[in-house]
Order: sequence, then C-alpha cells, then structure tokens
Amino acid sequence: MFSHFFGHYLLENKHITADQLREVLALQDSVRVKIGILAIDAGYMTAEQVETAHRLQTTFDMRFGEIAIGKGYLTEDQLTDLLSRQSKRHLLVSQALADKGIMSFEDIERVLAAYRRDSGFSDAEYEALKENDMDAVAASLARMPELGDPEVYADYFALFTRNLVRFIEPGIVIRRAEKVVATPFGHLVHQEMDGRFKIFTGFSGSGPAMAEFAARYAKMPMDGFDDLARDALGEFMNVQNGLFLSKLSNDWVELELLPPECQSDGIIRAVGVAYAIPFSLPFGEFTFFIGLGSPIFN
Amino acid sequence: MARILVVDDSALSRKSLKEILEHAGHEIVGEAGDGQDALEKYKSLKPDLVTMDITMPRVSGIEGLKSIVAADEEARVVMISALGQGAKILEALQNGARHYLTKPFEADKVLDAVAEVLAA
Repeated sequence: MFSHFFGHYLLENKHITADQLREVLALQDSVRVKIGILAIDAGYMTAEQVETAHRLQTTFDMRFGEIAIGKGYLTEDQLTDLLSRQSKRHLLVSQALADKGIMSFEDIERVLAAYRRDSGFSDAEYEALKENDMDAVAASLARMPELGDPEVYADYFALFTRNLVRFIEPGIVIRRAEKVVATPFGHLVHQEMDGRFKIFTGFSGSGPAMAEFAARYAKMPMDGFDDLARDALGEFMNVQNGLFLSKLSNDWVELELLPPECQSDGIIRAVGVAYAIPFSLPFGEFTFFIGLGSPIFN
Repeated sequence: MARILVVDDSALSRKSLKEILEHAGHEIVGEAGDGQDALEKYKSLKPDLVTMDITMPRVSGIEGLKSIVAADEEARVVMISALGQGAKILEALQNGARHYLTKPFEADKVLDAVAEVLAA
C-alpha cells in the first residue's frame, strides 16, 4: 500500500515517469506475497483451506488471519510469524527505485521527507501507512465531519477499501474526502439504503476502468461497459452494502437495500450532505461517493 | 430433478444460479427479471420451484412472491437476498416463501435449500 501511495506522489510531482512507476511497481509486485500464499509456503495451510478462507471473506467482513484462526487453520503464533514476514514491505519501493537506477539514495531520502510533509499524515497515520494498516489510513482520509455520524461513514469507507483489496486489487491510492457540490462522472454505479434514514453510496470511473473493475469482480472477461459489467458492479455494491447492513443490524438499525443503478455522463449534486473520495487503481481513476438522502443527476 | 424458474434482475446472478442448478441436474425452464415477469412465467411454465431475488426494480421480489402465492398457494419459492436484509427475509417467510439464500451464492447451500424445499 505504501508503495502505491508514494509511487503516485512521485508521479504527480514528476519525480518519475509513468513507465518508470509501472516498472518499479512490477518489480516490487513480483515479491509482494499475500498471507495465504505465505501460509501455503510455510506449510501452515493447504490450498483448499486458503480458498475456503477467501470465499468466507465474501460473507463475513473479517481479515484472512481472523478467519484462518477461527476455522482452526492457523494458530496465533503462526499468524504472527506470517505477518512479520510481510513487514518492512514499505522499503521495497525505495529498493526498487535504487535497483533500477531511477533515483539515488540521497534523492529517495529527500523525496520521502517531502512526501511525508506534503501528504499531511500525522506520525501515527504515516506509521499506519508503512504497516499496511488500510483501516487506519482509510479512516484518516475519509473524514466527513458534516455527515451525521462520521464514524459510521468512515467505517463504511474502510469496509469499501477492504473489499477493493479482497476482490479487485490491492494497489489502491486514496485521496482525501471532499464535499460534493457538483461532481461530473463518466459511468456511475450507485445504491440507496432506506429506512429510518436514507444513505446513498456508489462509485464512478471511465468506461474501460469500470469494465475492468467488473471483470475482476466477476472473474470473467467483459466486452466493455455493457449490461453484464453493470450487473457485476451492482453485485459488488450488493456485497459491500450487505456486509455494511449486517453490521448495522447488530445495532438494531434495519435499512432496506434498493436495487443498484447505473448512470452515464452526468453530474452528481447532493440534496443533503455528500462526500466524494477519489481513489486510483492501477487500471484507472475512480471516485467514491457517500451521502445522506438521494442525489440529483443532471 | 426439478423444473426451476430463476428470477433476478441481474443476468450475472441468473447465470451463476443456472450453472449451480444445472450442474446438479435440475432444469431451468425460464428466467425472469422482476416480480411481474415472474408471475407471468410462473403461470405459463408451471415450474416445480422458483428462486426469487428480493431486491429488483419495478415489481420487487416480495410483490412477485405474494402474487405467485395468491395464484398458487402450493407454490415453492426460495427467496434470494443480499446480506443484512433480515426484515425483508422475515416478511418473505411470512408471505409464503419456503426458504431463503443470501448472495453471493455458495453452491452447497443453494442445492441444500432446493432439496429441502422439494422434499417438504
């Protein structure tokens, strides 16, 4: 995660080219290993157990390690061992930059300091980023103070980012939340949850980016942003919002899920308060939306 | 093996259910995209069992269930819902649904629910 955030900063500030960033990320991706693979490699889990744990993540919002321990596949000590093998991963991007001769060690040191300053992260948030603590980073960037219960909405966004990592792509870069006044979109998938109050959520992107998102979720090729792709994105919203509503119903809040919808080439305006959170995946730029009430499109 | 009508507005979900059910030897006699379409196909196809998504545009799954049960009180309908829709599932069961499943589908659970409803 750190490498994607830092890599994006390097690109935006023209320290490296897009080709160089791709090269660096590919190099560090080649050694990026998920816990499941590490567990198989260590002989702690079978491939079938890893598959089962991954499948259960579609119905329970739990980390891979929590599920594996709950099912008796891993012990606490084994998980600690696997997590320690994953640590220090934030150093890989610097190593890749140096190995490829793109930047000197002095340059890396200087730009890292600049990134830390420019990102606006507190010490704790920066440490969280280095430790790949996506929940802490998402909560920090998804501050939406004008929504009635900001923690609930920050939790929603943290769940969204966990689902992106689980089902779509781990290389996410998130930017800070901003209030929606009138935000244009290419293609938007959205869903409302209605009951004691109404919440609107969704995300937008270009046609090719949304089609690739859909293909990764459905695990099948898509011929562009067609009906099948729209269905897949709608199913992603159903899973995301279903997991969210399951948690909410534990607090005795029952909201009805309305059918997901798609819109193209419009402008979104909030009726109540709404926020947009831009995020990048390696295959495109997206904007996440969340707000109270129903939005207006024109 | 049963003749089954699959009702869901998502072609992707219909495809997924079809694959699970056909692989187990069931016959998919028809597909519908909302509650109204489901009632019409139920009357003409007379399936042994219906899988009915709750969240659909136009005529919802709950409305579709009610109209099918009104037309045939012996109708065997298995409701499909996203997670976190406890109140809607309860409403469906109170209105004649025989079982329910949550998305995303797990093949074993789908086939167990269908077998249980057919055996009752």
